[in-house]
Amino acid sequence: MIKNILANLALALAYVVLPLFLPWWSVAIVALVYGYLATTGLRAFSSASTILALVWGMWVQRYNIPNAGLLAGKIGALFGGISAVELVLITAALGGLIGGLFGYLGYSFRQVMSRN
Amino acid sequence: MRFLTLGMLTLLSVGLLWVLDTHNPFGSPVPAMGRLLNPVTGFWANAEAQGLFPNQKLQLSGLNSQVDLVFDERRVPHIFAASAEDAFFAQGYITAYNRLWQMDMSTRKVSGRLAEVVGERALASDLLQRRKGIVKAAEATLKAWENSPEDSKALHAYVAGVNAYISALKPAQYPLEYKLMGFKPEPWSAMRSVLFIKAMAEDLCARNEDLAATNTRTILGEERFRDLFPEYNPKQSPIIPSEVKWNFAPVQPQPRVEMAESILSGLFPDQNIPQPFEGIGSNNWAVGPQKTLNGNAILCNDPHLGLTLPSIWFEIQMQCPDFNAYGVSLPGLPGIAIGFNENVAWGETNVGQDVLDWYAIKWADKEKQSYHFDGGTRQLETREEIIQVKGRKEPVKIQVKYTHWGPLVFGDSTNSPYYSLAMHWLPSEDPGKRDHYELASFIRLMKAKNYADYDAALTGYDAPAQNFVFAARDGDIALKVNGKFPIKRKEQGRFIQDGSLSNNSWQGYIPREQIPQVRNPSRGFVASANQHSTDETYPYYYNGGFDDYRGRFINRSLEAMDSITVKDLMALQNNPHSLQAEEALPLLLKLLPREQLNAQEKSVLKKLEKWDGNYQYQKTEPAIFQAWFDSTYIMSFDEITRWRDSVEVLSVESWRFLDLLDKTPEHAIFDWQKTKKTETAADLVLSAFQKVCRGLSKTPAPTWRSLNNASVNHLARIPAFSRTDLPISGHAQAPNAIRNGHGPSWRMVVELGKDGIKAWGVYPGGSSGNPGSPFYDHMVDQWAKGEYNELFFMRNAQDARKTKQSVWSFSPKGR
Repeated sequence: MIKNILANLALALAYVVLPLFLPWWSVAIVALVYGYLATTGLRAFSSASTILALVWGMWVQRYNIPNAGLLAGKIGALFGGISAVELVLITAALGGLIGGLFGYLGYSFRQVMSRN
Repeated sequence: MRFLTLGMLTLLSVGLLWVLDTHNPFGSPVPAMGRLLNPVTGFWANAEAQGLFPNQKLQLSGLNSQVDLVFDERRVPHIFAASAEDAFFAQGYITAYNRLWQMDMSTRKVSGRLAEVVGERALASDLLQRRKGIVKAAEATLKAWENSPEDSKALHAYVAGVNAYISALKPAQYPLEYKLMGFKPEPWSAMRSVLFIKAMAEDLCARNEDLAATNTRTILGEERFRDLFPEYNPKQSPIIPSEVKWNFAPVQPQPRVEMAESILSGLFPDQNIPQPFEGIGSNNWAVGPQKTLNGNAILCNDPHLGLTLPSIWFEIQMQCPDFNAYGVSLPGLPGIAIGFNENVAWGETNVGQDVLDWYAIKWADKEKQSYHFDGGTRQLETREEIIQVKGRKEPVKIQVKYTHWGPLVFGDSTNSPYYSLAMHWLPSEDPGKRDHYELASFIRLMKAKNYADYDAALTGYDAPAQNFVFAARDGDIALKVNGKFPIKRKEQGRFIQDGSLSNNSWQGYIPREQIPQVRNPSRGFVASANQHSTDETYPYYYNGGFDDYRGRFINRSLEAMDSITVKDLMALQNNPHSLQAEEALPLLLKLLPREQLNAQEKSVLKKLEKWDGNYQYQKTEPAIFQAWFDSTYIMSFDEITRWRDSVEVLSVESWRFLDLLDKTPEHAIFDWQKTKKTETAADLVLSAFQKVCRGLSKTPAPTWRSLNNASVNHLARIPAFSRTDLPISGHAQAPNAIRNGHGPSWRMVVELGKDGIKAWGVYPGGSSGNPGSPFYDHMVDQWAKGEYNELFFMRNAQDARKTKQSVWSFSPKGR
């Protein structure tokens, strides 16, 4: 249990720190590595996904709340009338998609490697 | 099987990442969504917190000593520096901080470098800009500026300041539009600043009607052309009042050499010669102590330009031992263009004089590579222009062809009737040697203490020519129609000229002491609104596009006013009254045969009869009147307007139209070509009125607001970043000259009191160019309502710190 919490914390930390120095898509590498080390496919997918969604969602809210949704509203309008709140959710969901896909990909890699 | 699944999954995941990281994937207009949405470098990082600006301390290389920037509650920066150079450095830094993308785009556009970042769709515009020879012109200007320490020191300090900001930028901090458009800022340069002033010149002094006038004269014949297109409105109230006498011996132009044969035949088809927006200008005036309630001179200025977000203006105060000045600056140029200091105030409106002429080249060979000139032949010169186009592997290379006169702007195809036209434009000329140039003119104004300083400041200023208004605390008021003006013989440059004779060159330039100017006239005020500079007694010929209504209305208003207060002048700046409507409505009403109207038409008429000529946004009368007026105009000049779709033609000026309606309603021009009957003005007025009424019986009259659609659009026309349909009363011919996306881009009122200066101002935007900032467009509504901010003219940084606003401290790096 504690191991899992620690692993998830490490994952969250890596999601935050790596893209500060590397391109934004380095979160995919983080998810890939996490997935490779994960014990089950479900865990690889769900943790990598949920945690990136949470990290991204909270991170953008750090900008969005002090800005009172001003810019998110305008960018949303640019993409056909999406509201600021919806744009926060879409960003989080995009994080979830990337995290989940690459997490599961990492897991699948190990599966294939260990069979051979 | 497992391998296959793994392969598919890898492909899907990596593919998704690729799409999210690619700008315009598969040719779609979609930006790189991953780059845009991720919280680290995406657009979210551009969402600025509301409330107080955080304080900052920065170390910057290039500074000589510490500079403080104090931000007031509107986030206007007030710079306090120990030297002028440090002040310009800080101006460059803070302007780039707020307006980098705008600076980049405006100079890219003028120099033909847009396709590099937006691709094919900007190529046509880039090609045209290159063929106009803008970059070559800017190179000559920069070379001249470099030889003047006054100009170059300010310029280089400003450039260093802009680059100090750019060089420290991380991708997360790139202005939003870079992220949306998918490109990166590049270092600023002195050349970019020069290009900016060329962009202003293109906006303000590139109007040309040579082709249209030549075509129209051919269509109408000499006599009718003269009749319909007189150059001077006898009702005009010129900028320089008639009491000013011209006590000088003018330079006499050489007489015209008569051509043996006409080199021009036929009409020039419509090629959409690029023209700046027509017929909307600016107002400025200064009233002397004898006309004001408290005996202080008051200066006002509202330049009318394209209204954009970010705004063309950046409000700033700059203090150093050389000056303490406040006003608005142009993002890309050091200094303050319109403003005031502790002793004087100044402002500008545009001069409409024509400084762009077309010359027809007479070819000496079949290939059209050499041409006749003064009895001999000359070869075209070429200059290669390389245009990078996003999405193309190889850049586009063109050879721009130059003649003695200037570039062949349509030199891409020798078969085009436009091929033979060479453009001569004043801002493209080599500025030559002087002790100072445009930048230093503004810097000298920032330092000016009195009239003599203002006088000396303006001698270095060539183009775009401006009506510089001036007022001082000692009560002096003045106005100079200032710039470099060609000496022309009568009608020179009105039509296309024969390019084979040097005799058709401009005949030198009007000596500076002979330009139109006035100081402390007996009427107690000076004013300009883009109308004719002088009356017809001025000994030099000039042509161009001039206002006919605002100037007269403003002069009339100021003459009638007494015990003037700041509030009175604010009301005048915001006045929505159109003198054009005031004069036209009674004429139309007089000509309208009432007995032929039905009940519905009579009720419309009743409404219009009560209208006062004020273009109030919530009313429908202005919209009805405008439709009636425009429709009558188009029918009246069908002889000309029917050509509009195929060839370039002139439009009869509206004052001449009113003159014809008034004095010669039976004039043959009113005969409608489509019918057998011979119409008079009354027939057209009736027909136009009935047409408008028929429209009104189907759909209710629109309000002036919906018709005028006062807007402040984002520079890249992104609707979500623009403000449209603003409730604002005004008209192109009213002092509050608002028409669609054009209008008063800065309203300023400065009271020059014995005990100090007080000033008010507003512009439709905000200091920040970032759509994610609360200071992006925060003054738009205030501006639309006609409200002003009292400008906080700080005396020193200590004084300023007491206001408890935010402060940025810059100190030199490595010292």
